[in-house]
Amino acid sequence: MADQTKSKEIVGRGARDGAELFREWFSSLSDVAEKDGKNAYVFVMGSMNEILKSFDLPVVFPEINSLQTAVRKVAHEFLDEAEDYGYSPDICGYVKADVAVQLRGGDHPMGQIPKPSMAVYTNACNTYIKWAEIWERMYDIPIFTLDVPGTRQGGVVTSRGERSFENDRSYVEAQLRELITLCEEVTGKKFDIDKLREVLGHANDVSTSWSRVLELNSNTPSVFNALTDGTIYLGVANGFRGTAAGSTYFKNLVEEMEYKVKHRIGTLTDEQHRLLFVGVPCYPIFRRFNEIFTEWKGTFVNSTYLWFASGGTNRGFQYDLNLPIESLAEGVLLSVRDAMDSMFHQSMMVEEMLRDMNVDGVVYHPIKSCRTVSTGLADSRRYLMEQCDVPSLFIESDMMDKRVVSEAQMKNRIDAFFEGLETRRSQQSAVA
Amino acid sequence: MGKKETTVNKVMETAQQLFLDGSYADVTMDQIAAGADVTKGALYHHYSSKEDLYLAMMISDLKEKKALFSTAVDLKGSCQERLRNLTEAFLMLPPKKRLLIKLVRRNINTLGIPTRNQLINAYQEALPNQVQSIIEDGIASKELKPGDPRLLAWSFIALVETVLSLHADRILNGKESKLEFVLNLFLNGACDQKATEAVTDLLQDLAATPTEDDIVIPSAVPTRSVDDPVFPEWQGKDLDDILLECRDLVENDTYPTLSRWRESGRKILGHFQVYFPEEIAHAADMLPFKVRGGTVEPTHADSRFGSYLCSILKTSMELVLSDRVKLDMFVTHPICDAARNLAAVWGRNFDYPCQILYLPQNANSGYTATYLQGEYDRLQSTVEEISGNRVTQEALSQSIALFNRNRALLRELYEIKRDTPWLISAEDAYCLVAISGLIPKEEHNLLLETVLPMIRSRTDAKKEDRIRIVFEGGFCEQPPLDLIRMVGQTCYVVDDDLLIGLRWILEDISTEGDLLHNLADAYLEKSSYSPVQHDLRKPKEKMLQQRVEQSGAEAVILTAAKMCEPGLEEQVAYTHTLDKDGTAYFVSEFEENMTSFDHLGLQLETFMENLLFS
Repeated sequence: MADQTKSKEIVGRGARDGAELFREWFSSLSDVAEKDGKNAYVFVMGSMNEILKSFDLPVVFPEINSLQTAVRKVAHEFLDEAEDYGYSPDICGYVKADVAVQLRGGDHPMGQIPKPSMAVYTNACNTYIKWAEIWERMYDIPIFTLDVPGTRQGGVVTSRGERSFENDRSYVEAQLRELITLCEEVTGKKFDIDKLREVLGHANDVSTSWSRVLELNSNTPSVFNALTDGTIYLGVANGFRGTAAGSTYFKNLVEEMEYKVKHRIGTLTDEQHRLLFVGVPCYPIFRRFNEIFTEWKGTFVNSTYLWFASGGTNRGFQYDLNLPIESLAEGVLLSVRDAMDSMFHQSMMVEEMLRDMNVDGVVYHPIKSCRTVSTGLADSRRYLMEQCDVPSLFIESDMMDKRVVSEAQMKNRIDAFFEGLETRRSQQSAVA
Repeated sequence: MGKKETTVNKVMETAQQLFLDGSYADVTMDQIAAGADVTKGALYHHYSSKEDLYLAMMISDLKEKKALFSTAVDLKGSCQERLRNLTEAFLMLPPKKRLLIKLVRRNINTLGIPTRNQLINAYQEALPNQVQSIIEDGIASKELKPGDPRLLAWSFIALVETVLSLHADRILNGKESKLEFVLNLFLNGACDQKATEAVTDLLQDLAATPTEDDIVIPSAVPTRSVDDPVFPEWQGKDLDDILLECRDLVENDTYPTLSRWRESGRKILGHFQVYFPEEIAHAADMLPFKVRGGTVEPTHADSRFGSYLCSILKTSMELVLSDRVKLDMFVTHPICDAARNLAAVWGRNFDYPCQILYLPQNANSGYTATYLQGEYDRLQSTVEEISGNRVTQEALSQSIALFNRNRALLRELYEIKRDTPWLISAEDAYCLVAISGLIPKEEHNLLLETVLPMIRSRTDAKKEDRIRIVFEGGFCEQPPLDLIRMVGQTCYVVDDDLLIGLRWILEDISTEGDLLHNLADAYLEKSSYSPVQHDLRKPKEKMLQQRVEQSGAEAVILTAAKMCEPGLEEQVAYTHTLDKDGTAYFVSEFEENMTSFDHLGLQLETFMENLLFS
């Protein structure tokens, strides 16, 4: 009985607590909006929460705001509004949904979004830069590009001590110091390095736990669905990075996942197909998209989305609290670089995953809205097929725009993919 | 003999033997120091690099030879006797000394441009010039039939070199036989008398053909000068024909200039739009080729990309997948979300280095110039590795000077477009710029230096009552030439951002001091603008306003390539700003492979007519 009570308390806690934290977060943003308080607009790949939280600046993730409009099935209203304003149907849907939110004075299905006091973003996605320029024009606010050089050539990884790496690290560190000065100007607060240490400590906790959570899903049965549950965890990892709440949440999440592993509690009761997802989720039919897979007893054990959309923090980099700024520079460089590698050079990572996570198939999901993630996926798949004997599925749709999402066509392709997987399995069993 | 002299002699002897025994690339300073029994420090005290040492060795040897041969040349006698004296002097040299002269040709392509030029000059003075002077005297005294003395001199030297081979050693017994073979073949030929006369006639015809006066090197020594052009078709033609040749080259999807460059054994670096510091590749004797897509069907490349992408990505890759273009290195830039994927995609398909040059997206940090200098340094290392050529300070300085000249000429072309747009059509001006990405800058400079005065002195073109416009949106994917032609027929294009990367740097870059820093600084501080460079000091809409104002334009054609996110996003800011200004504009999209312009043409004509009559 006690076990059942404990199980009920632990299993599903990540999803419940995550949803609760999300509601609180959006509620707090509404408060900021109401009081016209200071805040920073940031992005998931290199949010710089570490520095912003040390100035107690609330953070707004316009990407998350935008995807929420799709999940809540109202994205088309926002997209139409931005297109009427002049934006092309062929640009990023996240940008357009946010433009519409701004044109509506911050009205959003989850609450009121405050106007930005500043925007901080990396170059991990070029659209971040163009997006921030829109706010600069709209609100005449300071915008800050944290330029993080990525991998120059596939397979050539630089590390500490190498001239090229040190050049990149120094560049990032110099920019971080300039960002601190900008935050002082925007908030009117003096930079407190001990506060930064405290934030970095929480961020270290989140990174360690996040890395562990992803690792635990290599167990069979898998303990969470990378596409659905993973997206909730990802939201908390971004929004609450560097906070005590985030640290606690992820420690609890590790506990939950370890509990599920120990008791062999899978995300599906009868897991038949372990899949890897490459790309960005199909938010306009978020639940249904996943259902088409689970109906075939397939689950996603990992996803490149969980790597790059967490800004590469899945690698678990630990900041040295004795050298907070220097270490932050190195951590940001490595993490954001890793996030970019997950999008541009993911083939090798995928190969590793196939081996480490006992994967049966790979699902590539390029989307119209996001060239950063999608441009190289067809070639990446071609390359993987040359290197490994693993079935794969390639389906194109969108993360925001339901006009380019055809559920019926998608289902046909997915059904055919699973039929192929099952045939392959039966043939392998026959040979064995 | 002083200690210093002894050391130098030991080093020279060792180096000569090593360079004769192995290839230039295989010989190391360590080997030379060890062979000469000197410390590496002492070696570097005398010579700053292997190339420096090699040059000193060769120059010293060629000076000796020059002195020796001039003694033979100065002797009185007939042309035949003097050629015999000179050749005998050469054949009497110790074998090592004779073979050293072969190194000039063998290693010339591995050296930097300044070194190469010095070596060629020394070689020229030591041998071809002296042979030529004898032949000139022979022609003057009618001992030889009339012919081009330079061509005859090179032919004679080539004959002498053939007897240095092992095969010649076996066939011709001793120096005297070799000497007789050379002289007999040169003076009497290998054919009967009739054939000999035919050859002589051919040489006379060649002599009658106009040649550049400034040819300074034998054709046997490949060089990257305007004397050995990859785009010779335009030379000696009138303006209309030159422009026609330029259009043909820009539209030629077999890229003949690149093939010709490769035939000479040299390497090509392909760099994707928008800006690339071509000077670094040039200083390493690589041809920087601007990868900007093309009007080709992406039959191979289509399967490498998804559906919702701009055309230029696919056609650029098609050029290499279809073997139209062969590269030795590929570089892209983080200009947009699609283009930054190219290094990875390219790298999965080709074995040569495929990289991203991380041009900074934070142009406003105090550290950016230092960072970019380091990034250029990294790029330079790869370029050196691929080309096999070290980028010396001198070579880079000369390249920057050459590119400064090129940029000045392009600015002059744009002055003509702005001040007297009726003198040059939009498409011809475009082609004159686009060719820069297809041929060496030396050739491009010569082309512009020839053409610009011709354009300015044109009398057949009259000013017409047309609207002056700025064409904005051609920074990456290029509109088809037919579209540019159609636009140019309806209005005067007085400024544009077509191929802006080739015109990115607006002022001369200093050729002194830290050159990589100068290049980095120029990228940030002396540059144009585009939707793909973020610089808080250069809001794009304000920069467009400035372009309109400075060019005296009356309207703007705001266009963007289909699926080009940065271009499409910028259109919104542009239109809102132009609305506030009250500046007329025409919005459109294009694709490099589009072939139908009727509808667009009609719309554009209506737009222009409205402006003319309003």
